[in-house]
Amino acid sequence: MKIIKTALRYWFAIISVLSFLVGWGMLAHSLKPIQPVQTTTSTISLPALPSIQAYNSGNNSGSGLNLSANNNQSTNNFPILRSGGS
Amino acid sequence: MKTSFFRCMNTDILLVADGFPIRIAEGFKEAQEFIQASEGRFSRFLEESELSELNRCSGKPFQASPDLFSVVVLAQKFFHQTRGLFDPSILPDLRRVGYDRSMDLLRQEGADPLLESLLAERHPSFSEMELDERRGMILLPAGMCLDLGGIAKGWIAEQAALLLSEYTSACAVNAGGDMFMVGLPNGENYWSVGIEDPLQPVVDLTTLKVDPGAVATSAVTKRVWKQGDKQRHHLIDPRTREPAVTDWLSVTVIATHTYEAEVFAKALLIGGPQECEEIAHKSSTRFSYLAVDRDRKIWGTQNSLEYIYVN
Repeated sequence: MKIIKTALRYWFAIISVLSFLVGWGMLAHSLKPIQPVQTTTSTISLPALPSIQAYNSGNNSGSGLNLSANNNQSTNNFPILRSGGS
Repeated sequence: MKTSFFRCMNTDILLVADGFPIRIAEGFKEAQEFIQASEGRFSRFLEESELSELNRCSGKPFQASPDLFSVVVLAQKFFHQTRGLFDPSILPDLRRVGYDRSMDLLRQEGADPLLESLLAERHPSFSEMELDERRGMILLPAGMCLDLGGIAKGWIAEQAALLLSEYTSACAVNAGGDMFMVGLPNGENYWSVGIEDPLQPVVDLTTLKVDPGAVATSAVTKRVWKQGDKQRHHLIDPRTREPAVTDWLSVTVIATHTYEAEVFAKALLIGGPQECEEIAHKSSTRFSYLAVDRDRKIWGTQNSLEYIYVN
């Protein structure tokens, strides 16, 4: 029984060392990871926000703000949700 | 994004969701069934609805379902917050100006011009309604009848969206422009909501970028009809008891809850520029608004600007 135990201990030790060496060898000879490619960053120019004009109490009275000097700006990305009363 | 479209409550309903297709299909089915069942409870055009039953019981205590009671409690709260500009007890006036049947039927058949000759009868103020919160009972004063159309639509949209959210990673329910959004669409930081041009509804005036929550719009250009030679719309000004004469064509409100957004959009539209700032500042409900005037210019508070998407 003692001989079998000793043999198993040697067997596990040898297999562990061999596995470590094989793994080391495989990683050492594998392809290097791809390095990130440096790209030039381009700046996206955004249109200026519409200016907020103080609410002018002409025909309208109140203290709100006009948010749209030119508000006919339909967007190209047609939104799936739309609100306009029912 | 998966979508489902159907017509209910005399308006277009759009369900939108992200997630697993099978779960979304289950969620769509449950949300649609909830909306249809709710129409059966809240519609004033269905004789057998609970709201019609409540209206027939004016002058007597009425045992309401929890859903109807919740919406009536909200209506009472917002009646006070809007200083009476939101008033669900204007139903007799709405009928007098011709809106005595569903909008689909009204568009087909036209309004009865004889209704106009009826005198505007005095009816009790909505503030006289009594509620027994412990027992869920409603006592409408004799002669009062309610139209919970807008506030109920907002409440239903929000409840349906919450129901749908149990099946999806992000979803929205849009009931004729009154919408509630839960979560965010895949890869997005906000929901895009187009604001229709009131004079040209196929075109968007602008696009809003909004967080999950509620958006609702009221417009004087949508539910319109002819009564004799008069042009009518469905937003009654409780002060004049006639369709509101206002400088604005539409008002969009962004708020936490859809029923809040719906109520304040209506109140601000009726109140116009003269009233809206005061209502917005004095109300305990926090919201932002955008109003479109007759020149299609957009007006609002300074914080409303942050919602406008500029591409």
